[in-house]
Amino acid sequence: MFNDLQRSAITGTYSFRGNDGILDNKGIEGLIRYNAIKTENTKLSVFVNASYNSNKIVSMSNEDLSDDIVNAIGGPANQYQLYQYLGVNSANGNMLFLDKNGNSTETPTSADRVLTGKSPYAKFTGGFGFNFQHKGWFLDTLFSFQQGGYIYDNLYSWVMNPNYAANNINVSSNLLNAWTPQNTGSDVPALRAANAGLDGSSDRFLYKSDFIRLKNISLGYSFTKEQLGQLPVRGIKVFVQAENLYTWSDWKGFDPEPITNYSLNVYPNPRTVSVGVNVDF
Amino acid sequence: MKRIINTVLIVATLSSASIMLNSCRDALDITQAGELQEEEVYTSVSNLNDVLNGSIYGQLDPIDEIYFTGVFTDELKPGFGSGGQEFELHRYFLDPATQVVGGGTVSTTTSDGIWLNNYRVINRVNRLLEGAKSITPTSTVEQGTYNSIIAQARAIRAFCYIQLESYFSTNMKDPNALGVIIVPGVPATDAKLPRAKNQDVYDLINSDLDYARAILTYSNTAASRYIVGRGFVNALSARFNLYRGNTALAKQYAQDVITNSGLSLTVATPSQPTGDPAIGSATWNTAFYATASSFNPYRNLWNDSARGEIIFSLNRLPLGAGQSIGIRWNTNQSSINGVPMWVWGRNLYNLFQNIPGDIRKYAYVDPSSEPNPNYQDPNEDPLNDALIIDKYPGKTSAATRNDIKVFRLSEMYFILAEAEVAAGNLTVAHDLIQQVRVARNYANLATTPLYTNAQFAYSDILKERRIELALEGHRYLDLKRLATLAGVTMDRNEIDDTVPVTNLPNNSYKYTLPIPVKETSANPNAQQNPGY
Repeated sequence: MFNDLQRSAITGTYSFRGNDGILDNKGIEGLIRYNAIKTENTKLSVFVNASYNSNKIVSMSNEDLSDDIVNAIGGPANQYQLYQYLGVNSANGNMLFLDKNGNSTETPTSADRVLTGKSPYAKFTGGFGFNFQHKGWFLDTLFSFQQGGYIYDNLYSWVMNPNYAANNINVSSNLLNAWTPQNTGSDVPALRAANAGLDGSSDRFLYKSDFIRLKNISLGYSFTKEQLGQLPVRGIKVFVQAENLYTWSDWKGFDPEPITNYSLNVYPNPRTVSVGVNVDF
Repeated sequence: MKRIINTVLIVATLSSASIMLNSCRDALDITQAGELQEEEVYTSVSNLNDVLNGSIYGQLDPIDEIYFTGVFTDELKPGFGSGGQEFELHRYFLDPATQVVGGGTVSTTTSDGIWLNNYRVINRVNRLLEGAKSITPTSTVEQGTYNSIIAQARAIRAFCYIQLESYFSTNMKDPNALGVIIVPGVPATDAKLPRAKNQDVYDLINSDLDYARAILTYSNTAASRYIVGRGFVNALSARFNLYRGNTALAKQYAQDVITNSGLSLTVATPSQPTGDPAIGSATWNTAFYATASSFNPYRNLWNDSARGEIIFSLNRLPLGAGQSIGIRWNTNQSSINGVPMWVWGRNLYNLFQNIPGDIRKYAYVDPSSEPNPNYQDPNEDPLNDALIIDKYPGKTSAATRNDIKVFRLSEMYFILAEAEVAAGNLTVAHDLIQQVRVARNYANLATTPLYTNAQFAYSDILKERRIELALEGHRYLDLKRLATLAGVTMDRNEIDDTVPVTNLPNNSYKYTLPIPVKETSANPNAQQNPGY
């Protein structure tokens, strides 16, 4: 692995980049395609492909567990090291966390962080879809999916920051449900919780990046030579095509697909619809 | 014929193979464009001076000490423009991962933190000293420059060790208590050194200071405030000896600076520009708060247009080395429209507001401030009390940049006064504090109550230090050193936060910083401080 080699500050820096450690990726991939219908006028084939990958750091001479995202021996690369968020203390609106001894606390420290085993890398990825043709018509679809990865949604943590509301910055309407002495059952901490900010090293904003997405769908018609008759062209194809048309996911942010530890600075996949005509001379 | 062609082909193949092997060697021993190796740098005294300016003065930046002190003590309270940055630090959540100590995101910028910044400078000084060994000056003039460079570098190294000792040693007054790590020469990249005891670090500091003192001289020209001279060395010696409890030496060095530096306390007069507009009127404000320079000498100390009583400050040009200090409290500029992240703590503000004739009530506060007259009403929002900090007012073309004032003459008066109290000379101490107050008063109304006992004297000195040295990185260390002796505690107002306010109890383990987790992770030999 090429990663950060931690150093004592007396060297003038906390780390520099270098070779250290062995990362093991093990997995399998499969592809199945079934031609369900194959007649002169009609063709239908269905396919599914999937891969499983297990990502594990086998050895390192320089294990650095100082940050919230770490490379720990025995765990996946870029693993989250966080303490667990338990919810809101109904008595005072402060956040509750799990300390390293398994007790709930309002005042966790960095020493309470634990290796979560969670990383931004999905364990399962793949796709499925079908290709259908009937006479000149065709309809193709491709769905893609991933499962098993996590992203810390810092964009969401910012829209849930009540201090921004006072600065005329847009925030989430979920804050309207914040804990108050009258609304003690809320799962949103008090707007002025005394331990605000300590959730930054917790899994409060760590979410699964699982999704199923309609990655591509296209519908069209190809004119046959007979239909074109005397026209001086060999073929004409008319189609309409859409990409990233719909995503099924619990992810709140723009796009769960990019592989990243933090949701900031991620440019989402655009949703595009195109209409086209192909003319062959 | 065919044979000849074969031979030609074989020769051609072999030669191309050798070309490929040669190019492989190029790839293994890459010389990057712009690469600079030690043996190319340390060739002349002039290069040595470039290392001093670029790598040592350019890296020295005690801004995180100043920011930490402000947020953690009673100097600051949250401003209405804050996004919540360091609220947890303001509420005493301090642990080895705290980023202002160990590096990371601090306020809205990335910073090295207190620990790494000082060690990086020490590392650079050691490299300079090592490199200097291969340079032989060719003339007497060059020998003088060479000696001065070494002396400046060593004095800065002493400064960094003292910063580290002040924040990370459990008890500076105990020579056997746990100190900080000593960097021996240019350390190997895999160095994992334990912390030394205080006395060993002090021996190193003293040898640096003695060496520098013998070579450097006093200068009171305007430009020399940016250069380490004897003023810096003796002011540092005074501060160091005060912190470690050697008040006799602290007194000697503070007195030396006061007597020999050629500087005098900056005064608060004239208090009005030509035409005598009323103090606080719009015309007066325009002249007093002018960005380039003011008619008032004390204000000019803060807008960097004059040296005044500054012994040493770090030059912060509009573009150049060092972070912008203003953005730590005022995001864009020191005005109510500048998105204030932090404002003056209410009790500190009340202290300097209520002294009749004191110039600091103007010099420290931007005129756009909107103090809440009903701030004590529990129904009022604590954030609705905009006491805008203007001690760092910015300079022309750089609204958030100001020189970092490292040593000023008033601190020497405070050190001297404290040493006099320790020696039992309460009246002398009283007169020294009164001198500072007289200098800060434009109406000749300065008073200092009679010092009847040592505890009261300490508390009055601490009070004046709190005002005069506010936001210069003193309060945290002062409370650690003096609060118990003075019979006081940290002093926050109830509206210094949006949640119920507490004061950190005296002698809390949090008056010593934790060793950053980045250090203890890379270097398990660095012992953590108690409590963390």
